[in-house]
Amino acid sequence: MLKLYFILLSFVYVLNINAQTTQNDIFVIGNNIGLQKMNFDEVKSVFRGEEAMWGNNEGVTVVLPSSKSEFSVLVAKKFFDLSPMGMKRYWLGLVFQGRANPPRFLETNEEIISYVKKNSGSIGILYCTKDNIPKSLIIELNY
Amino acid sequence: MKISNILLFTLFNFCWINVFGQFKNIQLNAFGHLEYTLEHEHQKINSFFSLGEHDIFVQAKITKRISFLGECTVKYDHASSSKFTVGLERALLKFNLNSKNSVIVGKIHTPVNYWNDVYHHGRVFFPVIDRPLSFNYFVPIHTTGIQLQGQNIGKFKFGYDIVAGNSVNSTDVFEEGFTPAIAVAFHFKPIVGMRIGASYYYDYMEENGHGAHSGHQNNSHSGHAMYKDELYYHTTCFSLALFQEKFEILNEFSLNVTVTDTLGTAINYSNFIYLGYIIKEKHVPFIVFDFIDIASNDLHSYPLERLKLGFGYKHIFSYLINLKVQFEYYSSFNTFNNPVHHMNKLELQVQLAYGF
Repeated sequence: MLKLYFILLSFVYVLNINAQTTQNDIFVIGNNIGLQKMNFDEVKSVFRGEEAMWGNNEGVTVVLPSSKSEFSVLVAKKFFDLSPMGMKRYWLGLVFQGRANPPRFLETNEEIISYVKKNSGSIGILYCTKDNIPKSLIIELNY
Repeated sequence: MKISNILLFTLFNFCWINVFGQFKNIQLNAFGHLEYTLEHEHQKINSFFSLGEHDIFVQAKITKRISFLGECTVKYDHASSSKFTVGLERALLKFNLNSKNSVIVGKIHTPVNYWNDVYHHGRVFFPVIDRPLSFNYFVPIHTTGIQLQGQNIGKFKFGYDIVAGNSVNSTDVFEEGFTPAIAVAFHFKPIVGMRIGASYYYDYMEENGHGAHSGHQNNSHSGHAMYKDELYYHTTCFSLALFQEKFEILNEFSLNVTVTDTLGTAINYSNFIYLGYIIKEKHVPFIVFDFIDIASNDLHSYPLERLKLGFGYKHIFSYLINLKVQFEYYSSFNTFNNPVHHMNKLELQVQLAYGF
């Protein structure tokens, strides 16, 4: 009986580990932004258009999920406390005021990764598993 | 022309477009609005549709530090032979000194208050149908010159603007005299969606007048300035803006002082209040209060007392299109043209504002 209990426990543990590695999560990626780690407030500030330049003198280009993206609701709520429509309105207002360069709104994780890879100074948000992201782009996010 | 030359020319153009398309990050937007008005004034009822201002907006990132912003409008102008005029409302180059500070040169919207800094010409952003009354009289809307700007500094996201530029009575290409107009403004954003700010604007006009940088609607209710001597112009503004998920509040207070040798110091002021309540991100019932008082000895804007009370409803179809319905009551008295006449006006306005 005890043996069966341990087998079941091991099975549940393995399942749990597997679930953790395949679970989608929010990741921040960046290309030549001069940082490997950022805290949540710093990231939030960048995605809200409050920073124009990185410490390494690269210009900031923000990449956000478009409203067609599956995780735009999550990102808009977490980083802007708004809906996807509110997030786009917020950014359009900011650009129209001349206070920030326009962000890129892209639909899929693949598009965001591809854009960030090609553009120095860009920073993007993904909602996927860690395995799908090139390690060199990942910015460690400390909450 | 030989076929090979045509092909070469086509190829060259294709490459040119392709190369510049790849390296230049350009955003192009257009905004416009249409209106319907039903008004009752002087015991007469008018009902009419009007084609509103249409606006082309371009923003381009030229290098990692330098960007360009331009805004061009087409609007109705009775004085023009075609009945429409094209105006360059903003054309500026911005150089980022660092992440928080920048230098801007060109034609800007003078950052004297929240409305003028944030809304500009796109009616789709306006919380109500019209600008505050003070914008038609003594708020210096544009400046052509140089601006030092800082934003989002520190915990309370402090921001500042220091501007030196052409005077209220100048044009975009020339100003008589040596003294530039100066604007100093600051604001801070203690919580998300809140901005509190104040500004001071100073101008000395050797010859009083209304140029390219004063109000948007014919500059003054008296038309061209009759007083042509020197005038000192001071404007102080206080703004409180709170735009939250459920409610919106905007208060714009302006104090304008003009000084002339002829009639001395004239003290003018205005206050605009907007309150809106947001229901499910789509429906915004709102109220608006606007009052302006221009002193009887003012020689720039000329005397006026005007009160506007209104309520309305905004329906948001998307962040790029909305419909506003606004019912207003105007009361004007002690106007320059007719000091003893009291004018009341009731107005229903419907505005469809859009952008893309």
